[in-house]
Amino acid sequence: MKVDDPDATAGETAGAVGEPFGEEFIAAPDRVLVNAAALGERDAFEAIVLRYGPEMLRYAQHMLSDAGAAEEVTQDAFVAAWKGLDTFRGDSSLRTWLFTLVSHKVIDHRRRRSVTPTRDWVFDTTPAPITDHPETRVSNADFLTELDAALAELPYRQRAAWLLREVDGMTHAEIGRILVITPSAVRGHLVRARATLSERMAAWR
Amino acid sequence: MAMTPDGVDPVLARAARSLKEQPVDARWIDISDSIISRVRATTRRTWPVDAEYPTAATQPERKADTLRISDHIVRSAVRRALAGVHGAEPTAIDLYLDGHTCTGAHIEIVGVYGDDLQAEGAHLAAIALATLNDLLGSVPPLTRADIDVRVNDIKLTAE
Repeated sequence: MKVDDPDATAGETAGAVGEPFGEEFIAAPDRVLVNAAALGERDAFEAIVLRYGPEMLRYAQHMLSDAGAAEEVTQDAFVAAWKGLDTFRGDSSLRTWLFTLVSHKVIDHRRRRSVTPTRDWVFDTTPAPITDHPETRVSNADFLTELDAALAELPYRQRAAWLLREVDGMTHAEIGRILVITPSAVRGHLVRARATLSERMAAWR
Repeated sequence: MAMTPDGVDPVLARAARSLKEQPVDARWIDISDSIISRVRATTRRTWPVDAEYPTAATQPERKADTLRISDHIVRSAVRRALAGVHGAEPTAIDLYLDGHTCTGAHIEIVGVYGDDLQAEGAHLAAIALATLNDLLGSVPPLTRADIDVRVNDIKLTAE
């Protein structure tokens, strides 16, 4: 490359010399990753996958209670993201946008699976504890098993709102954008989810 | 519902904490490999751009041969050449095309507050021009006037 300006070699050193290509993206801000990936840099997109994939997979696992399906929808969400990066204009954060995609894929999967939604009346009575021996219910594994069961019984939007708020730390506005509902509706789902979960997990108190 | 003084149900607090602190799924390495493989196999629409064989200058018989390069490759090459120069960050690189012939480029960047953006734009245009001429050869030769650089946003510091 020949450029009249003597500083032109700076362009050759940026992200190209002295480091394997792709390392420039590992600690790069989301905005840089999005811009580079939208211009076709697969290394930048892979950095996005590594940054947000684990929490998207966790969300899908808790929403579907099916490890194989969660893996599939997470993959589908990232493929959709790769194809749609040109249209991502930063109206929301990259993380919120990715969660929106995985949330839509979860809904698609549930429709294909024809799951019958749980009705709120299911929780009118206090369910029996999983084991009759409280002294044995001390391990975190047991706690998580019971929590998974309790979450699986929550209606879809309540479960999604609780996970996104309490586990992924999102705001009501972000959750509303992901679930395509208003922040007020998010608050309502959260109140009901907390009440149901609290009652369902009462034996651990 | 028993609550802590700050109004949080301790069981639900434990539930959220337990899920947050769960280790990353042991299958994540395999899953991420699958995701990346699928993304690599997912093509975006591309357009072939005429180029000259790099050896055409020394091998005249090569002049008649046809070489076309995907517009994605061309745009990536320009992005890599520009990324980080003066802290600039390319946000869009569009090629001006006449059929399969590249006749220029429009580049949008995020500049750094306080810099001499006009001088930097000229420098970035020179780098882009050199990159395009290196990659595509002289089909036809591009000049500085064929490259537009627009600063469409400003950031406070070079990252």
